[in-house]
Amino acid sequence: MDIKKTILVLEDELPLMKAIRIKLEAAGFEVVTSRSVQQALNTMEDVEKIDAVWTDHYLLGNDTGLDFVSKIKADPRWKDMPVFVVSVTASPHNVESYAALGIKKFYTKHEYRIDDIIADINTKLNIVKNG
Amino acid sequence: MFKNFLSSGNVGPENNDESALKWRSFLEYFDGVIAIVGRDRKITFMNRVLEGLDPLEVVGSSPEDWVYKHDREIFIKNLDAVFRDGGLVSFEVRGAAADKMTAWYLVRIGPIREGKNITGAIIISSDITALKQTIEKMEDNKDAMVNLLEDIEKSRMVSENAKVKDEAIILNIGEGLAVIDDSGSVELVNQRLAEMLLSTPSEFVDKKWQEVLIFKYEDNRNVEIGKIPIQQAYDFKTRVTTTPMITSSMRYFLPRVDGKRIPVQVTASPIITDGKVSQVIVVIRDISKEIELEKTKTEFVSIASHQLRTPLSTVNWYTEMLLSGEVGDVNPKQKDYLNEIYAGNQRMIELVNALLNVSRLEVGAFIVEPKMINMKTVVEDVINEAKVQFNDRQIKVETVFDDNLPEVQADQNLARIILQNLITNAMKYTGTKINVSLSLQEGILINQRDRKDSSGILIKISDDGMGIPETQKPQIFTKLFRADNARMKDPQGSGLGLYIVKSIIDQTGGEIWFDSKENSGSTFYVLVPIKWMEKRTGTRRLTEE
Repeated sequence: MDIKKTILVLEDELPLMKAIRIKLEAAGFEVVTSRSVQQALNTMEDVEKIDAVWTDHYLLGNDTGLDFVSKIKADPRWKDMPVFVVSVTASPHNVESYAALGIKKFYTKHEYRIDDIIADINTKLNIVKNG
Repeated sequence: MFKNFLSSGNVGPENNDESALKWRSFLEYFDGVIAIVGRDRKITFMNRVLEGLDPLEVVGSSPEDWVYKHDREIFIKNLDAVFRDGGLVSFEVRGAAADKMTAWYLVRIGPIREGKNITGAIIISSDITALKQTIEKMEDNKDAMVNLLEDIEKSRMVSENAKVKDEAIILNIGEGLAVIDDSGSVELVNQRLAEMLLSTPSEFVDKKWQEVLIFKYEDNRNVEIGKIPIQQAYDFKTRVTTTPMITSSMRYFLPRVDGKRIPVQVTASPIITDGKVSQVIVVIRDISKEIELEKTKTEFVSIASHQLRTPLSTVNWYTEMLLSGEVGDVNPKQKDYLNEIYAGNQRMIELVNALLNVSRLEVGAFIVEPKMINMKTVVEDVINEAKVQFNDRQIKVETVFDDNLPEVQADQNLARIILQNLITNAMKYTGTKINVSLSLQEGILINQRDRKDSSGILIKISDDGMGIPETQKPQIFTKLFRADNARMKDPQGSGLGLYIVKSIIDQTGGEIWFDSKENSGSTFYVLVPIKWMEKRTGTRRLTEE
């Protein structure tokens, strides 16, 4: 049995959070969730091993996904952490800001199915699905 | 008029002594008519007689016979008075011959006495016609003069009123106003303009406009003199205005006395006299409020775009999860319904996108990032995507591309939106086939916003479908408009596609037009210059439907 990979999901909208959790768990991931940047940073400290981060751009509180990503990328422990930014809107300014932090792909919620994003996560984490 | 009557020697007493001769000479040269009447009121003597009359007729006639009929009564009354009272009378009557009025006379009548008896009267008349006419003329002139003076006074009052009104308008108008003379000196500045810049009108008057109206760009560089509407009004002899909604980097500012600056819209209108600009009227409007409003609207667009899409994403994902069957099997009917929900939601997402695009187009807040693009590739990509969308219908797609097509300077995203709308429309409303062609056009002028280009690419998209009803052709690019036959065939269109296409072309340059015949098809033409789009920084990117 493989050890399950853990994904930290940052999403302020509860219905969307729920959907993401259901799909990720169905795909075999452990899921921890946060609705704000501070909560997510605490989780990063507390949970021993997080394999990837799924984050929305707008979150509860003033800090955005961008603040979160810049903080973890600046921390040596997490600088190579795979991050998937999944947002409702992709303003060019935001897309550029994330790109500057090494996040090359930007997912918009109405254009991508959850399955598509999970497929990309699997590829990134080198998980080969059986069947 | 008169001939000498005495010299004819026919009338009057013969007397040859010296004093009589003197009198005769006097009477001969006297410039008037002297007549003597007896108590019987008959003329016994007259020094002259009206021309054309027989002198014999005069003697023995009544003097009033030679007076114009309407004045005879006056004459008789006066003669009676002389006979009765023995005094002198003087009055004016008109003379007459054969009942025709001849001239005006000043008549004096005095009595001839023998002892205490009045035996006759002497009548002396002088022709005063010329004098009368002169006086009349003078009267007329006086009337005319008075009228003229009255007219002048009236028009003076009118222009005085107009001037007062103009001054009131100029002083109280909400816009800043300046009048500049032919030498470029400021003649007048209204209170509003001075207040706008926290100054007073006297700070401007009699100075060169370039010294007191220093226009700046947002980055504080001075606007080049030749780009200021005031100078352009002198140069081009036409009204020049800056557009209020131009992007911030192009906006004009005027510095205030306190160092702050205000964004302005400037309009300069030349007053042309004898082909030369004699004055330029400058209207300066503070557009801070408009800019604030524009910002608010843009912020609204960006908030709305996020807020509206969040619940749509939820519906999207949950429908997707149900459809995948992972929470239990879905029977075919349920699957059908879920697909309807999914499709409806997708349509809503598209509609939100289209509305947001419209909103961005209307505030001019969309980004243009031009690079050299290959239009052929864009067309082929769009056709391939559209084929997938319409794969349930057998639509034959023909393409014709010129071999020598150059790359076009354009924003790929915007070019795609235009082509995607036009090609999807063609497929939606076509019968069996569509044709898309790209051809190089050289030596033609293409309307650009500020310039004319002489070569470009003509994009032609034809279908053999339902066409556009003749009466609805003028509205085809109108926001939310859909032709009746299109609504019948596809009730779900938004009526925004062609509006968006036209708006993008209007704002980036190029031309769009169409030919169409109901029930036989439409052809849309888009003509764009090779150097099509200029870079523009905005707040949002337009999204494809």
